[in-house]
Amino acid sequence: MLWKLIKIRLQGMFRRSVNRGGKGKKSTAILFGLLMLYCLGAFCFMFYMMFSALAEVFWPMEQFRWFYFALVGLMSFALSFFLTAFTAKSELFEAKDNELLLSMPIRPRLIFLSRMAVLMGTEYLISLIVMIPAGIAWFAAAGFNAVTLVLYCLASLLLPVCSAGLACFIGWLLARLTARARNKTLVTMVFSLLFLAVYFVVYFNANAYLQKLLQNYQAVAGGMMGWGFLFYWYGAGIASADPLLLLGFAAVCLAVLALTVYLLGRSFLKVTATGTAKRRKKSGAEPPQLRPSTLSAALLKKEFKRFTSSAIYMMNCGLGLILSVIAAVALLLSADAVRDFLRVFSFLTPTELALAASIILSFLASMDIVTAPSVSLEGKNLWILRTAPVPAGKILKAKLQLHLCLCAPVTLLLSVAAGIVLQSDLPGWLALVLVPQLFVLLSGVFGLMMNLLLPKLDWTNEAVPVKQSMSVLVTMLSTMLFVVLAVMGFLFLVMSGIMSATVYFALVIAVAALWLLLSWLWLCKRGPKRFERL
Amino acid sequence: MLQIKALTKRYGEKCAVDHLDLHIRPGELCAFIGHNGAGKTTTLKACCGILDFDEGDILIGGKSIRTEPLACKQQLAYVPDNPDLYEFMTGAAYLNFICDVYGVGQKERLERIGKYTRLLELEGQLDQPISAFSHGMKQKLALIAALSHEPKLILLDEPFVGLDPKASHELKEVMQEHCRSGGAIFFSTHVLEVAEKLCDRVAIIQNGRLVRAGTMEEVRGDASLEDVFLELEDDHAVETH
Repeated sequence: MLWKLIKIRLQGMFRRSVNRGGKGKKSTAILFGLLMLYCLGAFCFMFYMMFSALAEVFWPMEQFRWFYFALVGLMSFALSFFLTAFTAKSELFEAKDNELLLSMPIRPRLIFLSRMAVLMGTEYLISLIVMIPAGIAWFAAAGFNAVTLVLYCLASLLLPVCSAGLACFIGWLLARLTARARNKTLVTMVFSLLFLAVYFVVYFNANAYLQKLLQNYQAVAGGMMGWGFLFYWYGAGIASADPLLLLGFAAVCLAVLALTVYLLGRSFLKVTATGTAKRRKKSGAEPPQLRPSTLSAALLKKEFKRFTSSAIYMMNCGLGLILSVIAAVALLLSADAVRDFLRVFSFLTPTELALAASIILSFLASMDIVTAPSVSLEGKNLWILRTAPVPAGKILKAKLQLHLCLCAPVTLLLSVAAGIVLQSDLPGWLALVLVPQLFVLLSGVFGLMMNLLLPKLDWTNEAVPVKQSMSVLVTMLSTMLFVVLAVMGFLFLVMSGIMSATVYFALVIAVAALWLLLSWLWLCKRGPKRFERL
Repeated sequence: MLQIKALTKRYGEKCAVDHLDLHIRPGELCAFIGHNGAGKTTTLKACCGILDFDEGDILIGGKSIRTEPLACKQQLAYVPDNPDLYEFMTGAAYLNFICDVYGVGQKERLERIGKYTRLLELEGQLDQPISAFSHGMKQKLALIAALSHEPKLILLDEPFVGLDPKASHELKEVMQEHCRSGGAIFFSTHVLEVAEKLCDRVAIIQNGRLVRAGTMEEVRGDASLEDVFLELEDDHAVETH
């Protein structure tokens, strides 16, 4: 029965990933697969480089070889835990078929176990991204050793069990908290922001942490033997082929698994039932307020309500908004430090410097992709707009308006902060204000176009169109890639004196403007018809 | 009011609706009956402009849904069998949105929404988010939204499913009142007794083909609608074997 449950869940996930709706499903699936492969490759390469540096340091020190494996274990644990902790809540307690399965003569613990097994599968996939490059890096430095390889593989099979258990507990905690909260969106938002804050702090300081680690590895290793005993057992067990330590490590991992299944399996029915029970406010005696609006205003209000009612939509497609505000405040607070840093670019005129800064600001603007899942999010509600006497163009316009209403003011705030810090001249101010706004418009128009070309309407969980759809992926990657290429071009063409900065930036802006123009023309000419055919 | 001319819709090899002709005049209440998968929902969806079709035409108030979709949609309201509404809105916000879309004035929207929420017993519930509504409540809300802009033609797909007996009764009254005041209703149902008691016209569809249509008396003769329907089904079973 357990295997059947797992199989059904996996089949659902596979169909969700491959069946992306619309025409050209096969080519879309291939494109999606290639993109995934590229992302996997990029991550593996990044971890290989990182662990190669560590292996070079720790391989010659026999008493600290265990520390290398402990760090690999810690990284794999942290990454897989971070990436699955938020999906744990929806995977375990909010699956659409929970009610159906719970009504059948199947033990709730078995259903929970099947959900957890799928989550664990995800953990294994994520940990492979760390484990494979880290293993290659070690054997490249230390030479091949069959015993170490076998122990490394065996111990690495147990580690995701532990992180999955912890992710399940976080999912359970979130499910309990949000079930009782009046404003679920707010609670989820606060948790997501906290998590993101931790992530960004770690991400932006990763290099500094690595340097500190290499400088103070003895102290850190000493600490790990205490608070991080699990990783010490894991690392030392592999490095010194100590069966006792490995057995201890295995016992802890399996104990976590058993405890998770026992405790959460017991409360699975209760949490699921609380989650599906509808909370209703006390009925108001007063008649509801019904104020007329124009059609355009009504459509825009509808889009705004959808955006603000979904934490997952806000967090994934409006991340640039939060980062832009943080960046604006950070720029103003550390104006002197920024000016000191910019002395490196003293060969640029103030206008050229402002142009360069405007391209960097555009990177943040291109992270706002509010329109990219907006058509897909209509999902099963699409019939409402399709049967209403509303021109498709107006519906699309409202989606784009929401994007601009949210992103343009925030990006402007960032531009003003940058202008103040850079003490720009008039052309510089114009560049700082207009270029990021061009990218705001570009990501909005291009995102909408991509969503019309690659819609995903048959979703059962909002996370699918927002996080796992091709339109979101293509929009975000292409606009960000453009900015990255623009920066690289600057380094190669301007810094080496092949091209003047003014000509280069004019070229970059012209390409972006052309891209916007072509997307805009497509949207005006073919967009409405495409929407009507969905 | 609604003229379906040789409507044909194919899904690959399968012909879901095959040269279907039907004419529903103002004031008529027409039931659309047929077995599961007969083509009822496909026909209704094509009539309201959700589904494109391969051949034929559909005229609403003399205008083609293909060439003048907005003018047609302005005159009609559609309620699907499983109304998926905007769960991020409250009931009131949803009704307000629909009234904005159809350009209903403030006075009229307050009057109509007040009237139908009282009638379908949804009073005091409209400030709740739709995500907290039961299936029946969503069905009622979709019906109120459909009635709020006083459409000339109402298309309903299994409107009585999920409604409590009182709401079901009230809906029948509302449907009859709508037709008495010159509107037309075309609805699908599996409840033959309801069709028999409520409607003045009936259309029976079988595997995409319209096999019988006319006034209730013409279709059933001396027998009951159930007998006619079952007889047609039996005939069809014999033919296909």
